[in-house]
Amino acid sequence: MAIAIEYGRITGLINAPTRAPAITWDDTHGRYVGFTLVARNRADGQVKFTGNGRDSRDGWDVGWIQVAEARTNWGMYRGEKEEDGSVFVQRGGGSANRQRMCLDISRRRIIGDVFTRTKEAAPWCHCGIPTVPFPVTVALIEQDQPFDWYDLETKNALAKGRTNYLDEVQMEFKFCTVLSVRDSARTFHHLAHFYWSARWHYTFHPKRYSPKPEPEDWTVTPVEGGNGATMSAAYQFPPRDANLTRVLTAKHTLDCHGVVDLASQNTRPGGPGRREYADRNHKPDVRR
Amino acid sequence: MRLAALCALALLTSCGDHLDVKPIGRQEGRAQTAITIRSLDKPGAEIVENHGQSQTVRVHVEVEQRDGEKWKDTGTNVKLVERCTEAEADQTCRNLPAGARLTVAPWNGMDVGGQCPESHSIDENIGPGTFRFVVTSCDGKDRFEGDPFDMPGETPPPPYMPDAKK
Repeated sequence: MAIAIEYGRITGLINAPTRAPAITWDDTHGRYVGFTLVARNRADGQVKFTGNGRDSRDGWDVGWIQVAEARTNWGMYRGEKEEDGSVFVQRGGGSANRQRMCLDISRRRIIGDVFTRTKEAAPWCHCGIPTVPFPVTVALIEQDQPFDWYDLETKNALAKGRTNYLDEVQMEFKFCTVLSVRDSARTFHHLAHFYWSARWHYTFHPKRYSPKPEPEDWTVTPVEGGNGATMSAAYQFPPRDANLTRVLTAKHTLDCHGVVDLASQNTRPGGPGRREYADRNHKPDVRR
Repeated sequence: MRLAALCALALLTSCGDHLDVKPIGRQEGRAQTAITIRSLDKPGAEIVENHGQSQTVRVHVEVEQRDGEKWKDTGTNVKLVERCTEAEADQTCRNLPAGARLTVAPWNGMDVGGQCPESHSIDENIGPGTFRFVVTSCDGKDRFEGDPFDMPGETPPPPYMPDAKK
């Protein structure tokens, strides 16, 4: 009798709401505003295997695979005075980043692997089948808390290096998380999945410009309808979106750390994801 | 005679004090190295000192974890900077002048965003375990291995996310 998957299912989902952005202001980390959830989202899953004691468990892996998409991620900066100009930073699906979907993994990616986690210790892992008698039920947990950030200030080279201050940020991240098994022949068996998302849209305004605004000198205002976190029900079957399943295990899919690094490079001065304007009140097309 | 004895005693005492002081650049049990990486008061807090000539080194610091008798690269993103806002943070290599002492912005055990803010979704604490920082010359030929330090495995609260405004 060969090892077989009797079932795989998601047994619990917890969706954490978004939190209001928080301004950080210290010598080590700099001055920026961070965006995240109030806590980590959580997914619990189980996979049951059958087999007999002589079956080799080598090469069997069970874990989560997550695909992320950040189509919207931009920031707008404006100077104090008209002659200070404005700066638009595009990290999302505009010119800075043509790849929309990426594989979401911990940075310690084993080359060629696709599971979110590298730790071997259950339940936060992608793990092998434990060496206990069959049938074996493996319990897994995935916990996730997206984080992104924007500097509070930037220099506008087009306006003689004048300081431009953060004015508005909009971000939306979408995810599909899949409970999956890879067998010893390296074939994937996607067993269950769910979708979730988080979005933020805020305006920022310093109450004063001189001396430099401290954290308490910033007015942070949510844009109505622009903030929230959603999570679907658990679907106890593989994803049916062909575009999605193609990305899940394709070796050429860039991981999200690579996408972030690319966006970071592209939004440096002179990069395709950064546009500087002499006009303080410029209104860019945020889709580009 | 008594004065001479007192002076001799003082000399012996002061020599005895100096026996515990390590000369600059000498790691206990290891050969002298030009660049040393010393642990400070808490895990993940390190100071890098150049005891030799000016040298160009990689900004990326390898964080290695002890695995039995071996050390393996964790792939964690730590930079050789004192502040995350330094221009050097965006560079591949930086100069360490002779005599330089650089207190590295501390690392908290997370595999991403554990030192400087980084956009991310998946993150994990790669402890518990024994780790060390490794600084590499810009050309990759020389490695300078730091003191081992133990890092706990708990996921710390993000140090750079204060309470949100209501």
